Amino acid sequence: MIFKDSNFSEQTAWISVTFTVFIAWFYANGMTQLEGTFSTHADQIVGLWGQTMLASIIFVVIAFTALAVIRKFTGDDDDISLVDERDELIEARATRWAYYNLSTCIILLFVHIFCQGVITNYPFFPNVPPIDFLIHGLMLSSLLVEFILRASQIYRYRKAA
Amino acid sequence: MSKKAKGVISNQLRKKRFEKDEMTQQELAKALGVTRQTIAAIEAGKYSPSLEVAFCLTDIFDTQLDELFQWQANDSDADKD
Repeated sequence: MIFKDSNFSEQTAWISVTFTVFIAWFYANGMTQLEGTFSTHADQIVGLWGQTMLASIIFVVIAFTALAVIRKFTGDDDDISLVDERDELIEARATRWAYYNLSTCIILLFVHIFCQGVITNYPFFPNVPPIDFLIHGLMLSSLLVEFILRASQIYRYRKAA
Repeated sequence: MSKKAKGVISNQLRKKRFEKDEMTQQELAKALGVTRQTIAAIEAGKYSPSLEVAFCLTDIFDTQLDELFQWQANDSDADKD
């Protein structure tokens, strides 16, 4: 069983992967229900941020409570060290990979905004204003990067399990 | 001329554990202050510990570092300039 052979860092990485998928779905679902743009309906976007924040807090509380109960049940909670040098090394390698992806996402966002401003009949998202694209793009990019970071960690843990 | 360190590190950790009153991975992990999964990864040769952890292991098993860890150099890579 994966959970039994995993340590605290890997278990939290699994929670983070699930968290990012859930929040990305929640946020994308909320985006489809928005009316207007940030300049005309800023209150709706701020409301979506608030709902996303609330959903995040509820998810994290439930997930970590469940993890604490499972660790107590399996006897893992008497580990002296929750994070050791191997966990730090794996996280450092995963962070480097996530950093490259974050840089790429940010560059792509700005390239898109630049192209939208200078190219007539630019085909991608022509009806989305730059500020809206940047707001939602940054939100979804940060979720993607967090997903890549944690999935990369899990891959390294499973590779060496 | 540069030498790139390439090779395989093997270890006698499992053998030493059994020689020390069949010490469990969990007990060794507690003594070292690392997780049990790290001990399992070291034993399987999938993770090379830091020098600090390696020397702590020699203290625990009252042995020398080269008795616990062996380095098998990959000559074809090591001799490249």
